[in-house]
Amino acid sequence: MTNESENSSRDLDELLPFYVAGTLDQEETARVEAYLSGNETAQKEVEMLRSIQATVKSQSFPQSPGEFGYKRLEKMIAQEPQIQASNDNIESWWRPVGIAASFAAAFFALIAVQDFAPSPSGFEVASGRINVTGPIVQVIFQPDVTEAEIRSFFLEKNLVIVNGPSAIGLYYVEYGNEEAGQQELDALIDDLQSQSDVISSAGLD
Amino acid sequence: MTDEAGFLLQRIAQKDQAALKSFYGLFEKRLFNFICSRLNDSVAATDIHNEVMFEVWRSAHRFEGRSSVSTWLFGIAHHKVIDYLRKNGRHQGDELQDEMVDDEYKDPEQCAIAAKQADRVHECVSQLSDKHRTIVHLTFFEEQTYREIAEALGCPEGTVKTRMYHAKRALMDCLAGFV
Repeated sequence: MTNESENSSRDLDELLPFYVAGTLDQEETARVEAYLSGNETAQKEVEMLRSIQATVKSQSFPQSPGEFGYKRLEKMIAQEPQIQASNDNIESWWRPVGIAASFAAAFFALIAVQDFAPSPSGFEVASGRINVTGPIVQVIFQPDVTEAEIRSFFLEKNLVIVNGPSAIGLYYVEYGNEEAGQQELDALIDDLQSQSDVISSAGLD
Repeated sequence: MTDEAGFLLQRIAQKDQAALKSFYGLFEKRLFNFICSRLNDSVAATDIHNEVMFEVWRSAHRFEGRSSVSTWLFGIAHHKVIDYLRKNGRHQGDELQDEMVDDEYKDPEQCAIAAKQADRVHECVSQLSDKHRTIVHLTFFEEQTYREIAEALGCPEGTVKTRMYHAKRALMDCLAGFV
């Protein structure tokens, strides 16, 4: 009973900052308010949290990039390779074979590690050539990794799918930093290899 | 704003640069403040801010509407910041930081008095670990729900609540030092 009560008290303590921020739903707000009535310690914490929020909200930050930043963005877009449109075409055909990725574990040993270098010629797909300018990496995931997790993973690592998954679940991805040196690419591969979700990864010449 | 942002994102997915400009104007300051709150380096923040907006341009078609646009955007920014911190050797092990918080009882009344001094609060917030400062910013500055924060950071809701709890303990620990 004591443990239950302590757990409940901890649960409600955890909600106090969100109560102060006004982001709890009605039911949670009612629970917190019932907890606060007659609990002087929690009331003082709420008072403290209100002061902290007031200060955080009035915090001043450096001047944002503004128009200058947008001009820079426009420049980046103008230099963007025409990969995105091609990716749309890729996505329309690779989804049906995504299920084949579950067989990847049996085949990861087949992947050869090759030297890294930006792809000189790009990949050929049914809809035409994709203009790939950055270094290419091939990656195979554990069979239980979902498509959403894979997408999120690639986004986090600044990798863009340019082909795959193949029948054995092999993805070819382009690294976002076109000018990455060998050291950075080696670090990327090491990083990929250290992920529990990744079975194997390698640079592709 | 949500409907407007969603509409703009749909148009950005169709490579409408005018929509991107509107989207940029809509989120520029909030996004930049979030990144600055993580890095305390306006030059690096400016670079990451641009990378995030460029990612919006490239990935708008991937937005599935399962979260709010701002949650999706802050999620991209979060991962860009983590990448930056890792590249610069500033990303610390998360689990250890929670355990390092002093769990000794701090008098909330004394902390409440100390918290009325904005400069003290600023100092204490700046001393928080990156992950605690992130939660504090998203909770108090952005006023996001813990569910939205969990989605943006890609972690369970319980983790967000626990991190906020430890952030609060760390702030109390720091504020108590002023009493």
